[in-house]
Amino acid sequence: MPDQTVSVTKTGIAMGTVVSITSYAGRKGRSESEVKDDLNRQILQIFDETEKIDKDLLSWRSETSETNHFNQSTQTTPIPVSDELGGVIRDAIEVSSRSGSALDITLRPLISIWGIESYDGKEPYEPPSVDSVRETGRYTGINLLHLTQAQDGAFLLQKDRPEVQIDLGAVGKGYVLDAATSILKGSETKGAVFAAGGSILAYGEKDSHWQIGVRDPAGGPADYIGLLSLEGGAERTYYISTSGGYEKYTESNGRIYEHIIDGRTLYPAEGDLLSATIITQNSGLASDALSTACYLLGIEGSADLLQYYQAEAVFVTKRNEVFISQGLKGIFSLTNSAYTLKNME
Amino acid sequence: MDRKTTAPKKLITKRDLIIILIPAIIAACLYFMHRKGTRTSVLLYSDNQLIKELPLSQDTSYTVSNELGSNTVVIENHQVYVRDADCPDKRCEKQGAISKPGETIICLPHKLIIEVSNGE
Repeated sequence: MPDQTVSVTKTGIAMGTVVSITSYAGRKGRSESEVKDDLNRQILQIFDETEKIDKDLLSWRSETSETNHFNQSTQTTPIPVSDELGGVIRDAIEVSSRSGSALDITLRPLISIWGIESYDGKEPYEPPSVDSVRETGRYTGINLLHLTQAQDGAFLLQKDRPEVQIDLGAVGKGYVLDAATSILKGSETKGAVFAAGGSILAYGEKDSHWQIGVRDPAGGPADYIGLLSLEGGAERTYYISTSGGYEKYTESNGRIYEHIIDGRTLYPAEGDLLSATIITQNSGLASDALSTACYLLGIEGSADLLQYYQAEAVFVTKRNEVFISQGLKGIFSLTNSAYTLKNME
Repeated sequence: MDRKTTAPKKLITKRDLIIILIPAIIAACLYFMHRKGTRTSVLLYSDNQLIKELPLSQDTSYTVSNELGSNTVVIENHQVYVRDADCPDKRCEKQGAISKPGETIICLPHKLIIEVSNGE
């Protein structure tokens, strides 16, 4: 008879979004409340780590974060950064350059003048002028950012212009999933699902399969177009991240402005996708970064990236088609008949 | 032998026992279900800290108000919902009412989580 499984669910707010975890552990002779205490403690540890990563490391908004210190600095000589931040920036820069700069971690000044992400609805939205975009664009571009490592392995980050600022919003939630994985591995926790905004970690064993919903771009947070049925396994990890214009957008004079800015054009995304969902097994950061990059690059433009990162994808187009990559055949099932399922070549 | 001699009558027969026990068991079940129902509560978390616990069984309204904004939480007929939130999107209001343990209403801009809990 299988060991009785105990589960605990907790919802919180971190990184400006809703985070929630459901964790499972076997009783192994312990009492149910003992197991729940252990699970609760670990969940709090994961939430705390998430807050720490946000406030101390990655958030450009947080006054005390390393990222903010770098952004406020006007120094154009190399600045030492922590191993943790160096690692995140190194991985994010790699996705940025492989995406031809569609994803670009230096767009903060531009995102700021576009004002879509921060729009609060109090006044009618007004896009920035063409000149303003061009002028601000001069302070952006990963070619203005250089990450190197000193002889002792310490990371050094250097900006070519004092106005250069980094924004890790497109990779932060994915990195938090990686941090959660480190806490879960080697612990008594058999399985867990951790959702941080649009990035989800499915970890470990599940009696049948993990059922992860792919969000309906046209619906609310609980509406799905389909389900990914992912086979669990001891300490196995799946990282599922979704990006889409529907998450935040503004309107002015009948035109829609999406919050995802394309580093190649300096303008909001204008492709034919409603959303891109990327599944990886070895890196949460990669799944998050790729979801933004692939949303901007489109289906054909994403092929090389998906192959290099061994990632699978679900793309939803503006013609209500759902394209899935080869590896998802038999894994993804469409549940919303308003969409048509198609296989990617 | 005298046919009218019979075994001594028991005070309570098996049939009597069943007739007594069944309503007693039903009464006990109803009592424990009622108790569990009255143990269900509404937990309010502001910035991940528990700030208030209210019983779901008692109609009331409670306003959470801080520098982030204000939300009025209403408990009515064993359900809870948000009325009069001053956040920009008002998604918390549009979410409607919840009543089952584990369900949540969230006001993200105000970092408010409303959760129905049965104490587990």
